[in-house]
Amino acid sequence: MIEKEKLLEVSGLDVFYGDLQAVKDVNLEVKKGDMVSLIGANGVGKSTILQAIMGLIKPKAGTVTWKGEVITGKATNKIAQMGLAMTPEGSHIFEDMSVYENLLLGAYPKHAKARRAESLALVYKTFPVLKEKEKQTATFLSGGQRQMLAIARAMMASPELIICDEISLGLAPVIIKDIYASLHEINKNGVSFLLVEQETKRALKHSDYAYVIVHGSVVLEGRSSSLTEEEIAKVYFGVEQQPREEGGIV
Amino acid sequence: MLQAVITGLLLGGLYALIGVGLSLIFGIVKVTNIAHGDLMIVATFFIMVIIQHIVGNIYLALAITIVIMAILGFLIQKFLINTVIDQGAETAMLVMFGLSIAIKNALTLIFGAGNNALPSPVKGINFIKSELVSISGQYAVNFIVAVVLIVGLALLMDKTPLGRSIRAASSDTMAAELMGINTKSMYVWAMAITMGATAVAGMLVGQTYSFFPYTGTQFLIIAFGVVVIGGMGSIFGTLIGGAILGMAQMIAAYFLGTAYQTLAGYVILLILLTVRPQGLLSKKMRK
Repeated sequence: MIEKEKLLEVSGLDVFYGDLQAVKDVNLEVKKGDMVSLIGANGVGKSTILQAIMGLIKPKAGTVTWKGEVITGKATNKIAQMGLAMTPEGSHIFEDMSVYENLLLGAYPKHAKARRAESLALVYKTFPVLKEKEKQTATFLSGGQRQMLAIARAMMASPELIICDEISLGLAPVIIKDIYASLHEINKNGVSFLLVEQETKRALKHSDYAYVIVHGSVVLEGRSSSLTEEEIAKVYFGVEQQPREEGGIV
Repeated sequence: MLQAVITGLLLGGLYALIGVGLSLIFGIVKVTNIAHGDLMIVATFFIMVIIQHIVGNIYLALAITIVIMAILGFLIQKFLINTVIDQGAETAMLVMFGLSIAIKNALTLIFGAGNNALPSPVKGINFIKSELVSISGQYAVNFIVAVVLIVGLALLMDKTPLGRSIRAASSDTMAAELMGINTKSMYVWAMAITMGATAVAGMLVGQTYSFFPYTGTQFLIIAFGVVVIGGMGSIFGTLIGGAILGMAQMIAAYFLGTAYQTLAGYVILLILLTVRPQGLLSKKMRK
């Protein structure tokens, strides 16, 4: 069997906020075509890992490698031109621009501009509601539509990997289901995903491989189908008590 | 009275053009450019020097000055503001305050403190002269040029890919970076464009009024008035702000005498600040 191409590799990642270590020696990888999820409770450093990958924060140690090239320390706008796209937590769509303008901005990277019409057709096929609301100012979209626009905008960059930070946060279950269904559809076209998700069950269901993060470190990883909720709950429970015994940081 | 309203409106066009640069930079870079008035007067002096020593035609001189000012804007943004902007808008404002003082002193050193004037092809010509109302050619030119330029700037920001990227960078810096937009270089573009437009304002001001190295402050205050009335960051707001400020001044001058015209402008400004502090056409206030 041919080994799948390794797209993203994070190794030995340490991130600090001041004296506080948010991410500790994290290693993870995303292979071509895979859907990978980072599972963990609120505030354990999942988003920080994503931000470090995209160059939004500077890691203290460790490297991020994209298709064999080290991208640690590069500017975010340079990284975004290399085939990685990210939907940040809270969607961060351009509020006072139309849906269409948001999508055009998604196709800002040079390689994406050339394929703009093609990407736009695909986006409208995946999210027909965005076609309907094309001319509407983004700020008037519903919560679910905002996330769809954020994902669609990322698709416009013709990326090989889309990094999604908490796309289900605050959405109704039926909308979350729709959104994940579209992610799988996008994934079928060869786009890989790195997802951050709080809900363990959902994360396992929608990914091929999962990393469980507790207190900034990967404590468990494996094929999503082989991990169980009970196993993960045990890891949460076991590690969460330690800092209290050590009298650690509060 | 009609005369006062019309003169005020036309004057407002020039005021709007003076204010639009301040508004753009505030809206895009989020920096209050304290040196805006002085930079405009720098353009006026450039035009004067070019006319005296290089080419006699004022419009050719203007064209050269637009390029010089755009380059100057590029350098100011890249090497002064961008290097400090991560420390917050206040630091950047202080840097511009320093630049403002430096400009005034440098201009005084080179040109002395005396009055200067730019030649104008329409000086002394009346655009309309009737019993009801008369409009000087200079005021008519000021108004037309200002409106055309402001509409042009609005179209540039609204319709072109560059304008769209600049707006993205200003509305959500992180998201824009994630799109692959180099936000700091968008600020550089915005400043270069703004300074180019400011050169035009500088020419009109130099043709309409006499100027000297310290004139900039006077126009900074006018620009503030325009931008506060119209709404910080709104391009079309400057047209309305300029018109209101200009008309308030001229109507006050008509009823109370010219001594009161400046005061009247600022009374209107204060009233509007009380009633609608975000300005008439302000973009939404951001968190």
